Amino acid sequence: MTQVYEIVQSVLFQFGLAFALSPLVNTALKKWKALLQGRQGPPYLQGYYDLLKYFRKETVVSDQTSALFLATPVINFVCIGAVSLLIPTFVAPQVFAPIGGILVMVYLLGLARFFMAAAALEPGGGFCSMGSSREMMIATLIEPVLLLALFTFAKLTNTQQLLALPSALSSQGLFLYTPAYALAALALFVVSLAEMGRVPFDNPETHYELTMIHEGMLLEYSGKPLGLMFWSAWTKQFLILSLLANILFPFHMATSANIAALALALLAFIGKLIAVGLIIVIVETAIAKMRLFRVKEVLGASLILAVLALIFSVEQSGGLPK
Amino acid sequence: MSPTPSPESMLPLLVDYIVAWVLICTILFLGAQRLKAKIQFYAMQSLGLSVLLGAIGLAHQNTKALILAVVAAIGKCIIIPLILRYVKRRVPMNKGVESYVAIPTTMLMGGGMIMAAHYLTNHLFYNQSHLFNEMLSTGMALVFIGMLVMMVRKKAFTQILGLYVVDNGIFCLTMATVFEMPMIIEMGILFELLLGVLVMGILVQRIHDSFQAVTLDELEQLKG
Repeated sequence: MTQVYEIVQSVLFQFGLAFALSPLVNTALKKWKALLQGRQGPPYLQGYYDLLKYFRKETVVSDQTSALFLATPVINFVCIGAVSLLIPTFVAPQVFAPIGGILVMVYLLGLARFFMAAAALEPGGGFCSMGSSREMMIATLIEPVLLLALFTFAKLTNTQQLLALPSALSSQGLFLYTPAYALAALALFVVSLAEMGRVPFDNPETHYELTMIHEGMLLEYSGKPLGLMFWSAWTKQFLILSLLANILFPFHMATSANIAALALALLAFIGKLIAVGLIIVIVETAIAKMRLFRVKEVLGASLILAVLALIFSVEQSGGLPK
Repeated sequence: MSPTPSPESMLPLLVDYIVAWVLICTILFLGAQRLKAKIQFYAMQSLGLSVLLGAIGLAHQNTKALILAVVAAIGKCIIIPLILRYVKRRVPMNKGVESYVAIPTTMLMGGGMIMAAHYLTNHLFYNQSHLFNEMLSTGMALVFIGMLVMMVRKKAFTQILGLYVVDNGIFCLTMATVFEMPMIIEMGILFELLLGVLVMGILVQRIHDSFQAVTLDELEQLKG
């Protein structure tokens, strides 16, 4: 009984934390980027206002669509919610460890993406279809890199559980920063930018038809489904951000349930998020969005980085099995 | 609380980092779109190798290796790139890279070759030290990738760059064995000289070509 109670508590906590913080994090990224470019930017609570607005508006659906079109926002929301259980934030509830392999996370993201792309084809709009075809093209390039980079960390720590990664990484102390780790972290950073749909790959701030990918797929949505889609996209961004933060700086996770440890871990987590967010904002301000057909070169290069990382991690743990 | 690196464990770690740097430069070299970037990545790769030799020389207190490292750094990171850039500027040609195989594909092939090199060294020399294996596999990978560049790129200039990468690979291979057979170092330097002559050969030939063109221009101007 206590275990069931613990599971329910952890589910609510992980789920709630991710979905409650994600609009704030998204707006904060927008705001910092604006500040860095000498604009004022939106107020920090803008994400919540937007969500409220979407949930109040009427839903208009094309009569050409099937049930899939309206089911997709919910499926997406649930997939991202399930991923939120597997990603360490400032606590890593070990109750989900038995289900939380790397493959589960990557393929839950893949499932969400599949339904999003399929639903975007439903209303038959030109921009929607273009968005989904681009999304699938980028997805085929993202997935191997993401898997290989995460496998490198798994090899380095001998664990496949994302929730166990930070503590296993931080137990290595300064020995953590080996070439294998550095290469995999670099590959993971590049691929995270692509997965979050940020600047060199997609621009989250524009509705310009020729460049948009994610926005393109949402073009036919309105009202509550649109709100859900945005919310799950932001939450996905928050989750990837916190995974990245916890892998780049795996220290100071809460290991015990006492208040002081939790508070320290929370502070450290906020610091990590701010650090990673600032890196992303600076990168976004420094580089221009890339031509779509150059994306494959960058992601190909990061694939090779991930392969190199894997080679180095194998070397580090004593070579290939003979 | 957390273990800190000790001085003895620093050399392998440093070697790992430099090797990673060299391999990244090689991959970027394969992926570069312009000749200028290619030359820069070549220089960065050579710098990594020279630092590697210097670090090993320091660790083993070997003066010969240190001197060779300095010579290699000056030759490969400064003189050869300067000459290459000079040639690039003097010879009228398209500054882009032309290739029989698409650039991302070449990068993937390069990654595959690095994997193959590691696999081979791990299976051929499984009794050797980590350092030896690391450098041997890197050298092998560089030789493979240099040959790949020589095969798939269209222009003579890029092929010479590929030859330089092969030379860097041989440099790395000699480094793995530098403390046993110093003769190979001398051979490496000789090979370097050979390459220098090659570059000069192309240079002279191209200047000859352009010189004719230049004089023709002048003649036309005189007539007009």
